[in-house]
Amino acid sequence: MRSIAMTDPRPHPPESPSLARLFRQCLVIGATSFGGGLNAYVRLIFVKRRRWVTEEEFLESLEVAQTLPGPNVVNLVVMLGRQLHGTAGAAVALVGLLGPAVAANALLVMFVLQRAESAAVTGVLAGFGAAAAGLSIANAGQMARVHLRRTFDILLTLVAAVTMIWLRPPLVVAIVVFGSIGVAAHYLRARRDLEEPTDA
Amino acid sequence: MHDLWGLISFFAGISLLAIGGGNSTLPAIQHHAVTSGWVSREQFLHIYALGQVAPGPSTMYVAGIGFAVSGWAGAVAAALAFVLPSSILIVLAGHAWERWPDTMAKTAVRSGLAPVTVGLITAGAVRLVLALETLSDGTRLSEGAALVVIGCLTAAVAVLAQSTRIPPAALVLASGAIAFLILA
Repeated sequence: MRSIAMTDPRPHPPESPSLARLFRQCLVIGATSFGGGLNAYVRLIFVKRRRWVTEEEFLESLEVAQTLPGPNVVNLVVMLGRQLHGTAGAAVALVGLLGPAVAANALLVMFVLQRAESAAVTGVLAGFGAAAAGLSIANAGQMARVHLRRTFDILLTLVAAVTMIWLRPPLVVAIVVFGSIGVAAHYLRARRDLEEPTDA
Repeated sequence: MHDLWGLISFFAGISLLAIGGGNSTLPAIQHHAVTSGWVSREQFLHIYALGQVAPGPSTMYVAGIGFAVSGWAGAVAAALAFVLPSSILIVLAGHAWERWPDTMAKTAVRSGLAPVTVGLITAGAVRLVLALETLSDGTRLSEGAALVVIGCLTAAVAVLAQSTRIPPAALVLASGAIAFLILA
């Protein structure tokens, strides 16, 4: 734990950017990053190239970004922006990162909606859609390999998945119910393991 | 205007439920977008796929959904509604969470929610796979033949994305090119 962790906003390296510089840099990240590895790209810029934050600060922010709700890289950039320039820094980092994505997604959808009858567009979109489904399968597979170690977790995953596919409850209900079960089970297991250290 | 409000209230409501990253909301967004008549199942798959080739976070396909519903205002509204509540939580509580020592409870919150996240992402994947049947319309092959091609592309991307370091956007573009050659 760092001794200066209690000061808030935290002191940062001397190469602190201006608000405009932070915004432009996030705009560049938002415009030149393409799915997957976005966190690594942010680390490359903020830690290695610009030296605006230390490696340790980056990892602490990443941990928060991955635990609290919201898209990971969005949370990460908001954390880093806040550290560098308070709430204004968080705001410009957010708008910079997402601006190009919002414009690009809107333009692509506009183009596709205008040409929905074209055979060429239909063919290309069939391939895009097929690949998107493939990517989501890969994402699920990678997440499962990282997070699922015990039979209980695999069962909870399957029950949650089947429920969301066929029963379709409101998301909040699914998260409260399955989340409580998961957190309670992991907490009780951790406590039991503490009390019975011989239990391997 | 009613649609704009519908977009804002739905995406703002789902923002704080995006546990473990934006993708865990996929099944809920797909279900709501289709059942409320915002987009067809086929359009949803198209818009989600376009989000994979657009720059920036892939979850910004929500801006594409917003655009389909209410044009530019819808795109901005959906994107902001989706990220503002979670971003405000980060600004308000991010440092408190960071300073909360690694107790048993904190670890349990993290590891106990992980299976739920994986379950939601799996459900999203299944929903997209079930929607693949809509893609065969308007292709030059018969429905069965087109679905075989589409299924092969899906399987190939699923394998390559896990076993190689090819960027996701490149896989989507390559799949689109192959489909164009065979199906268009």
